[in-house]
Amino acid sequence: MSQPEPTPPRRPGFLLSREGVSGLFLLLCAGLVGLEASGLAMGRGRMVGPGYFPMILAGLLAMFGATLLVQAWRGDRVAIALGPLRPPAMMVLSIAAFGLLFPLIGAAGAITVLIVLAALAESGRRPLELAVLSVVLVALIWLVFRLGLNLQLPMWPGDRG
Amino acid sequence: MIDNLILGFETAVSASTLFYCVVGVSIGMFIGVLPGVGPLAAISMLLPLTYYTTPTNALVMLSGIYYGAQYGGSVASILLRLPGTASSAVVCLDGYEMTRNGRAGAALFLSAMASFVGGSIGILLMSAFAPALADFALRFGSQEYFMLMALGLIAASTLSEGSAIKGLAMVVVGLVLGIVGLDTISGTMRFTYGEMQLVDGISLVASAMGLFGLSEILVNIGRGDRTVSAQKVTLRSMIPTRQELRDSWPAIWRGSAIGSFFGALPGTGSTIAAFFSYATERKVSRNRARIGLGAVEGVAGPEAANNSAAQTAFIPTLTLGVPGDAVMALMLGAMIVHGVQPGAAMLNDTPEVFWGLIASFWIGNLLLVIFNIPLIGIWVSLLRIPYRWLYPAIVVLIVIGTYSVHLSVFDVYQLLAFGVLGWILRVLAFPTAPLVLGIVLGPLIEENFRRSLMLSRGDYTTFLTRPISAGLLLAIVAILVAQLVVPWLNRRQQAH
Repeated sequence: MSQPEPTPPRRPGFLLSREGVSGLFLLLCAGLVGLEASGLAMGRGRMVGPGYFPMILAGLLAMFGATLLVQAWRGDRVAIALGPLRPPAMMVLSIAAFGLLFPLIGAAGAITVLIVLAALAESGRRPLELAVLSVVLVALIWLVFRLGLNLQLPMWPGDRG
Repeated sequence: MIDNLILGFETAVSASTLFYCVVGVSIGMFIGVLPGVGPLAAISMLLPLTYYTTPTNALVMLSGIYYGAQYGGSVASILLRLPGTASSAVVCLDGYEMTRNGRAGAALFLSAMASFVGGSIGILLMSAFAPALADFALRFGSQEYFMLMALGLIAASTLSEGSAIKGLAMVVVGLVLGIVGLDTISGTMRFTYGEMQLVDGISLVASAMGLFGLSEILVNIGRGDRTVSAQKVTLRSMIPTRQELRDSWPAIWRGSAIGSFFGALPGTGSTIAAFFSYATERKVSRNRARIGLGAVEGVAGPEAANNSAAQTAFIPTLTLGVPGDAVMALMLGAMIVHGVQPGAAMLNDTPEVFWGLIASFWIGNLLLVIFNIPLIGIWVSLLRIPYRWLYPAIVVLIVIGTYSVHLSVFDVYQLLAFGVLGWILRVLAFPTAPLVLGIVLGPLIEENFRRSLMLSRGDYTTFLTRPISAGLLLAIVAILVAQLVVPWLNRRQQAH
């Protein structure tokens, strides 16, 4: 991933400007919703079918998306400010890892992995600080959810919760 | 009304309800002080915890978080010029100027006082008008409910800041997400793509936490640590001068009136009320020349406004079942989860929930003033917790909280998906609050839409021939003209 330039180009192409991408995003949503709705019964007269309301929503989305595209075309072009991508990506990865590991090794291990991966999102972390943070948070979760709320939360492998 | 209030206080002063009230307002205060974590994130994070208690206690705690966050938001605004909540952003203007003039203590005291008076007035109006409105609502049919929900959705998405088109688009996306799952009328699966865990629809907790909690972190992470330094506030410095008190009162009354009005309207809430009150003070207050330079009116007015609005916002939510903003939508979701059906019937069927809630509002407001003024020093020191310790704790709480609702890892993946969606939407400058409003109202508005057409045998004029429904439609048209057509005409004029 290349670093974003300090000053973004003043006039991005209309499809790549913020409003342009927003418009395309809405058109994509409209397409998905319309596709699903077209597979459902529309109903007729007094019996409105399950596809009727979603089809109206798809139409509205297409209308809004087209409006945004027109705005971008007319010159309402702001560059998209993405910011650094690594930290949010690491954060997403850490939660996905939790989802994968939790059924296998329980909450204690999965939370620790979550915290360590999330910490890698930001640089300059000390290992000791991380260890303390993990222990404190695992203990806190155990205390609040397991003891306090009596939740079925397996903490380690083999623990029935 | 007196009998009802007595019933309410009997419910609210029971030990367990009082406990949840204290917990709620304290957490709310804490969350409100922390910049970036708003009441929406706080309520969605704590929603799972309330599944373990009675409906009354749950609602008391969640609303405590809400108005506690209003109080807390002003602390960070006044001392650091960091608005903890959107509705306290306007308090930054004069509040922070007062801090720079060495009147931080007085500003905090006056804001707490204004909040309390504004909140109390809102509560009084609510206990006076809610039953009448509920009676009126008994005459509503599906057509009226459909129009009312449409009005609320359109007002909430176009009156907030940013592009009106984008707000409306988010409402529509929310409505689509809201109807995912089994269609109860026809028994058809919609938008589930073969995933059986989506039959009951999207998880409200997972979507709210993803959109407000997780995406907030995804946006802020990696932007470096905030370092804050706040000045010390002593109790002695909090005593306002006689002149400051005298100047504040008229602003407090005006702010309370403005706030109560905007709070009760569907779609407008405490943020708009606070800005409107500030604009009013700039025109009519005696010190109007000094507004913006640290005038007490600029703090007292908006504070009274946003707190009275925070209370009256419960009126349409509780009596009509139509929430005015995303926070109220979450409250509505919480009620439905707890088996309390908000609406006209709630006042008759479960009066102890309704009036207990109202009484708890007042107790909570009182607690905020009594406890939190002496504790302001502690709240301020919380601002010094480094963000790099805070965000892992928040993420872990979000993940475990989401899992706990249905003991489902699938919900954790839903959370992740909504977090990423929220991040994309923020990058593209879409507002996310209307999305949750849509998710909560999606099934309700569709049901009323279909039932209206069923009753009228597919005739659309049914929305026009019923007077209340037609009036609501007129209001919708007025808002759309004011928010979409007028700006468009202005832009065309400027272009020529």
